[in-house]
Amino acid sequence: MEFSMKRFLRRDVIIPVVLLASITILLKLTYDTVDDTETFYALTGWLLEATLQSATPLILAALGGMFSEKSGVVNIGLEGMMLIGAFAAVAATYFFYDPWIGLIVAVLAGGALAVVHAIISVKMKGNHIVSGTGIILFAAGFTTLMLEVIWNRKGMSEQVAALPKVSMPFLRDIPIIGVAFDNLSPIVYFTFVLVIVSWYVMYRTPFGLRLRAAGEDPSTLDAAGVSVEKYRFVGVVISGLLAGLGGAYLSIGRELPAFGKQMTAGRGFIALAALIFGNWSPLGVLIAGLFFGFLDTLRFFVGFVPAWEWVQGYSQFLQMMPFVLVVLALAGIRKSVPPKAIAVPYEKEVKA
Amino acid sequence: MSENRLQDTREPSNETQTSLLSRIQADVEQIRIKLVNIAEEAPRPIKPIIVAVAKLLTWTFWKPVIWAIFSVILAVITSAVIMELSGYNSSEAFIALITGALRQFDRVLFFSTPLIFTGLSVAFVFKSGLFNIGAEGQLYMGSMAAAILGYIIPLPYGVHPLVCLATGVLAGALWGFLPGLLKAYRGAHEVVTTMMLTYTAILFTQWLAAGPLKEPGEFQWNAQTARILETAELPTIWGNYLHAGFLVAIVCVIVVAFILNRTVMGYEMRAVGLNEAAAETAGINPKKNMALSLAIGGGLAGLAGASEVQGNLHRFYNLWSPGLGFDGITVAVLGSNNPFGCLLAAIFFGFLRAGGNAMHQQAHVPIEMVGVMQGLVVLFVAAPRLVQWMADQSLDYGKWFSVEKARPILFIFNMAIVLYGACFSFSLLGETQLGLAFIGISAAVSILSIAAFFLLFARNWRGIIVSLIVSMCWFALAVIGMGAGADTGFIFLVGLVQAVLSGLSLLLVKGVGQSKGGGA
Amino acid sequence: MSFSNKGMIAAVVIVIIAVAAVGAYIVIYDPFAPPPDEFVENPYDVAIVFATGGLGDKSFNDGCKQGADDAVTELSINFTYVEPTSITEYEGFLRSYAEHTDYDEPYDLIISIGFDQADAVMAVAEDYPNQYMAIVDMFIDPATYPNVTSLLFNEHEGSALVGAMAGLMTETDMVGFVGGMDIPLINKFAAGYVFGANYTNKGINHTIAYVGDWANPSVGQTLANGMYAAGTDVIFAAAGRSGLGVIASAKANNISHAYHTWAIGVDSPQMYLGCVDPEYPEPPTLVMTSMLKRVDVAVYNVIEQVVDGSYTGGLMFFSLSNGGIDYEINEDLLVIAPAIITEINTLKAAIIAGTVVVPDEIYWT
Repeated sequence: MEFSMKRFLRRDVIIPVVLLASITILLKLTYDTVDDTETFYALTGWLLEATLQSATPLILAALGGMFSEKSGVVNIGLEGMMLIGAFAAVAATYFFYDPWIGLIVAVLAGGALAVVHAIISVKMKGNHIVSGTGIILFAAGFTTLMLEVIWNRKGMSEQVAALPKVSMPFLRDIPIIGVAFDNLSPIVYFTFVLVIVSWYVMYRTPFGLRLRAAGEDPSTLDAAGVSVEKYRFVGVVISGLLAGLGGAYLSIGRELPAFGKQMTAGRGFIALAALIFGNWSPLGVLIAGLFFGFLDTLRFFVGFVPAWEWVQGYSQFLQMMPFVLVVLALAGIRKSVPPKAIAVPYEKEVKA
Repeated sequence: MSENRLQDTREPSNETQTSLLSRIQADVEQIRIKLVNIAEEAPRPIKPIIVAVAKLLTWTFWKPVIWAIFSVILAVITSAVIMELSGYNSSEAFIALITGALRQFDRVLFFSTPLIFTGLSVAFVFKSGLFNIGAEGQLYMGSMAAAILGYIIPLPYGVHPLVCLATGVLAGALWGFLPGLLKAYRGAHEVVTTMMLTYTAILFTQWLAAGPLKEPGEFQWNAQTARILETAELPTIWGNYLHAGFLVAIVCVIVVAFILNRTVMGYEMRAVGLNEAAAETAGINPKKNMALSLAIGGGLAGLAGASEVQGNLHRFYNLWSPGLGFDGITVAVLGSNNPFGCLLAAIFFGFLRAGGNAMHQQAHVPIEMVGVMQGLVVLFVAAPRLVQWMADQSLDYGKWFSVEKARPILFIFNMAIVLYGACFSFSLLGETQLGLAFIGISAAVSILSIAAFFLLFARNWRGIIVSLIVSMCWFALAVIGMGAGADTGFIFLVGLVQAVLSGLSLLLVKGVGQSKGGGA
Repeated sequence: MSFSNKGMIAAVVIVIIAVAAVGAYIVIYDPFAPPPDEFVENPYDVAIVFATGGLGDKSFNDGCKQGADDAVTELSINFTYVEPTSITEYEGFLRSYAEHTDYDEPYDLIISIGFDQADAVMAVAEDYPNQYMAIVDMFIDPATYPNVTSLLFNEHEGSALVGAMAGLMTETDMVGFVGGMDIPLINKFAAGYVFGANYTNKGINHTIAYVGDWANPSVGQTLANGMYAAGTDVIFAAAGRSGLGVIASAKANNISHAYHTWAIGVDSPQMYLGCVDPEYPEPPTLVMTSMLKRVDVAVYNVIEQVVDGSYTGGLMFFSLSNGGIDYEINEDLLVIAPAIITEINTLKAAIIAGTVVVPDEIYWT
């Protein structure tokens, strides 16, 4: 294939470069307004840490969404699967006093809800969007109901044990890194591993090839004697597993290990935005997730820099950025290529 | 799969079994034909009524209705099971729900008013083949526009409410037109753009309500706009709640039905929705129609926001909507995208909302149960083939039962015990003091039991094997529980009954199932 | 065979199977049947409408619920409550409680928790002038609405006391404040806190941040992480459920800092939340004290008035002088140097005597 410099620049390089440049400018401006270096390092380290923390669930859910959408099934139920994951993590930890069991149960719970979505949208050929809406409604109602059943509480569950944090004392003296990586959940590191694994699975294994074929050209896959339904089913279930993991991070991965009503607060939708902005590829999802996490953190960051306190009055516009960027991306600033057969139920042709 | 299915050697005699039903259907069909004949000769004003009645008697009309009712029944049963497992009294809850809603029917209609609008919005857009899941955002924009116009410009009574409603429609329509344009001319998927624009709208109105348009006042700390003038309010027409927005909604239902079924525009939109390529060959511009239908859908959602602000809230509150736009999807789905269906579905959900309050106050079941039911309804409606499949299976079951008696009865008993076991094992998940193994096996039992139920329901003999495995699990549970010092006699009994039943079934069925193997 | 027959038979069979199974389950074995309601003498009925998403904060809303629960045991009232999901639902719930009169026995008192219910309370109080109502944290003019009691607190006085303790305990001379929202009510806390810290530790640095939400602990935690990273070592959280994130952050940051990272609780006694396991509190705790705003006492008092028949409406003030405001000392969890306690108690006496006037709005620029 001919290597096109122009296309390469447009597609994959220019956006990260622009992002990095603007972040550098931002840090420089911060450095100028904050007088002492110590505070600057502390603030920057905290910015990095908080970015990683708020990006992790987004990346996980978006990766999940990628598996589902690459196989041709729209999954707007990510929000619901994250919610049920967050809930199941806390409930299982509460009953078994072990957050690792909670983690596993959360992943399975997300997967179980995904099985429902898969049965409806793949097996029963139902409408993907309708099914996803049902999943969200059900999860929101069910988790709040169970909150009251299990803990007899509204709003928030009892606190349970959190996953142990990965502490790195030897990093503590390095300026920015020390603050950022001192006390992160293992799920954060695991997320990066999962991004690489997903990339490998998606582009270097026969499974990934077939999964992508189920989303791009199901009839050819069918002609090759491979069951489209099976691959779509697996794709959706993987998306649920990953979204459940993302939900578990929200509840037992952070410092306040408890389940709060509606605690995902639209993160499933931001994950969908990250998926589209990241152009349905694992690395794109990683960058988009980090960027959206950064934007989420930025609105608190400006509060700490005295010169920028006025920005707080406009924090809604910072929160809006992911959504506006996606609309702009789809409007054609950047080429965005969804899988071809997405949201189209595949009907096997009747053999004569 | 199919070769494992138990099939009958004899075809059942169709005449005896279905004669009654087919006779009824034939009679109905005859009446319909008679009506159509009468309609041709009838005087003009009565003619459309008779034609409409004739239409009601067709199967194409009844099919979605039956599916909707079926889904509601399934959802009610499932939520009753959830309630019982959660320790609530489901019968008391449903009685409280129904009596509570009937006692305050003005509230039912009040709750359903915005749902009618948003349901119509989603349904209208769906008719042209698009999916408007951003009704929530359009609703926010519409309500904000109406609220602003409501307090800024003083206008006389009668004119002011109409102007505000029109502004709401316009704002919502603009917010819907944007994704419509993107869809038509850039190919951007409307599901994604409408959803993203929803969150943009929510945050934008939040900024307006908390910033430039915040109501001033010493004790006014909320993010909300000033109260609209009295001239802009929609009057209350029944009870304490129901406002004139409901009448507007009814008018909208009729207008939307008229546009869709009686105008060129509606015809073109439906044509685009059915087959875009074919519509284009027929000289219809699909791009124009897509953008237009999303704009009209947005307008309807905007109207929902405007009528709520003018009739109920009297000002714009930050984050005021409890997901009315998303509920519009459920309304449209349950109403199978028919305007009148949407009206009924919206009233049904309004009924649930109003009754939910009573259910909470009298039976102490959390209001979220209503959300669970709503989600279940949508999930069941989303899978018409599930209903179809269950219908086919039950029908085959009926056939089987008419041919022979022993095995079907055994199967039914087995299904009952398996279903009961699924519920029972689920309730055992709370007994965490008995250890991880106990809980793990209980979880496995509940999942396997459900699988066994569906396999048995499909008359697949593997269901018996699964059922046998489940009964072994019950024994294991009994032993583990006994080891932990619990009284597990009942668990043992369940296992025993199940083992005997499935063993009997296996003896009776195994040979038949395999001998039929090659045939299918 | 046509489809209609299939559908009909299918409907009948499935409904029968499902109903039979569910019915059998309910009839044969009902492990969770609720015990029959106990007969209660003197059934005064009280309804509470909580703030949106507030319950579970272990401070303000839970404190109000505690007050009602106390009234249930002490005064044997009945009490129902609801937690709306959106600000727009307040009026509907209040109205449905008030119009309960139309077809059932009336509620003797309806309590609204939180300032943002003021509009709804006024609307309903106007339509039902005989319905006794009460609102926490908001002034409603008793001349216009004689049936509404406003329960008001001098939060700035208590905040000054915990601020004084923060000023004495800080090692980095930096104190922080995390508020729920940037509104005068919360700025009362902030003003008192900063005043108190400056009273005992002249020229101390302070940082103030707002979560913007009462029910978002992760944001509270993110803000607190930032403050601790920047060198603050005492943070006062007045942010409802979001404040729990601040306490969580204090626990997490304490590991990596050379000095203690403290938090200060709000409204209810929250010192136990700073322990490793709040279910079984054992020292050490990282919540050094709590600003006590006795909403439980306020709610209990107003219910008691209704039961006694002494309900008059109007205003009820709670301050340091009548014990409605205080700060928490829990010797079991944390022993504070007597010199510090003495100094704080001196300030408390001075505030009660009126020699020290605590500002109730932000006085610095």
